[in-house]
Amino acid sequence: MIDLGRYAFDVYLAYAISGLCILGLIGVSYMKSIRSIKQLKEAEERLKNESN
Amino acid sequence: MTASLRLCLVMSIWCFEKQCDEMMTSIWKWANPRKFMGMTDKIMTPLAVLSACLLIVGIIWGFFFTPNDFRQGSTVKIFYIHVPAAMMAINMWFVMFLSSLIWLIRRHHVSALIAKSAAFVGIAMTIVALATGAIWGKPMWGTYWEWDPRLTSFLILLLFYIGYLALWEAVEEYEIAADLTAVLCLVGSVFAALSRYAVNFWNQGLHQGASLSLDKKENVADVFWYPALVVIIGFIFLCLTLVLSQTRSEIRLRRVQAIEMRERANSL
Repeated sequence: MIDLGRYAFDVYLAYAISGLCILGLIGVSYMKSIRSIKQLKEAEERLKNESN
Repeated sequence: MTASLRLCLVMSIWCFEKQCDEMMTSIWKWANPRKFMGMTDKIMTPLAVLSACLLIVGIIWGFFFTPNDFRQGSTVKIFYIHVPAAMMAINMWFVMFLSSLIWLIRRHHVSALIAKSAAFVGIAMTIVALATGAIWGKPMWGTYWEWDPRLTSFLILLLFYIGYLALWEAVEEYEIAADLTAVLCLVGSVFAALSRYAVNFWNQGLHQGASLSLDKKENVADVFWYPALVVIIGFIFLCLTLVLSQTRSEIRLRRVQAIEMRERANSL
C-alpha cells in the first residue's frame, strides 16, 4: 500500500467523497433511465390497447 | 484575368455557403428527438466504457505512480480529482449556456432537455470540486473554508445550479420552465465565467493560481500533468455519457407526458 504520510486521512477522504458523489450520480442516472424506459413502455402499451 | 478571378471567388464563396448550409442542416437533424435517440443509442456504450477505462487508468497512475509534491506532500493526489471536477463544473454550465441559447433562438426541445441534464451533472461536479477543495485546504491553509473570491465564486456557481434545477421543478408548464431556466442560465453564465477566470486574475486570497496552463513554464510538472490529462479526458467522456443518458431519459419522460395528456383529453 502506498504511504501517504500524515495527510493519508485527507487524501482518502477526498477520494471517498468524490467516489460516492460520482457513483451516486451514475446510479441516479441509471435508475432514471430504467424508470423512464419502463414508464414509456407502459404508456405505449396503453396507447396501443386504446387504438385497438 | 480579373473576371475569371472574380468568378473563382464567387464560386468558392457559393461552395463554402453550401457546405455551411449542409453542415448546419446535419447539426439540426440532432434536434429531432427520434434521430437524437437513434444516434446516441449507438455511442452510449462505447463512451461509457472509454470513460471508465480512462478514469481507472488515470487515477491509478496519478495515485500510485506519481511522487508527492515537495511542499504539499501527498495531498497533491487530490489534484487528480479536484481539477477535473472543477473544470467540468464550469464546462457543464457552458454546455447549458449554448443549449439555452439554441432553445431561445431555435426552440429545439432537445436543446432545452440537454441544458437540464447538464445542470444535473454540473451540480455533482461542483459539489465534488468544493468538497475536495475544502479537504485539500484544511492541511494546506489550516481551514476548510475561507471567503476567498475564487472559492466564493464557485459557491455562487453551486447556488446557481441549485436555483436552476429548482426552477425546472417549480414550473409545471414545460415551455415556460424552459424559457425561465434559459434566461437564468444566461444570467448565471457571468458567474460561471467569473469562476473560470477567477484563478487567473484574482491574486488575493488563499487559493493558488491556475495549475494548468498552455504555457509550459506555468503548467504543472509533466509527471503530474500526464495522469491529470488522462483523468480530465475521462471526466469529459463521463460527463458526456451522463448528459446523453439523462437527456434520453428526459425525452422518454416527455413522450410519457404527451401520451398521458392525450389520454386525459380523450377521457374528457
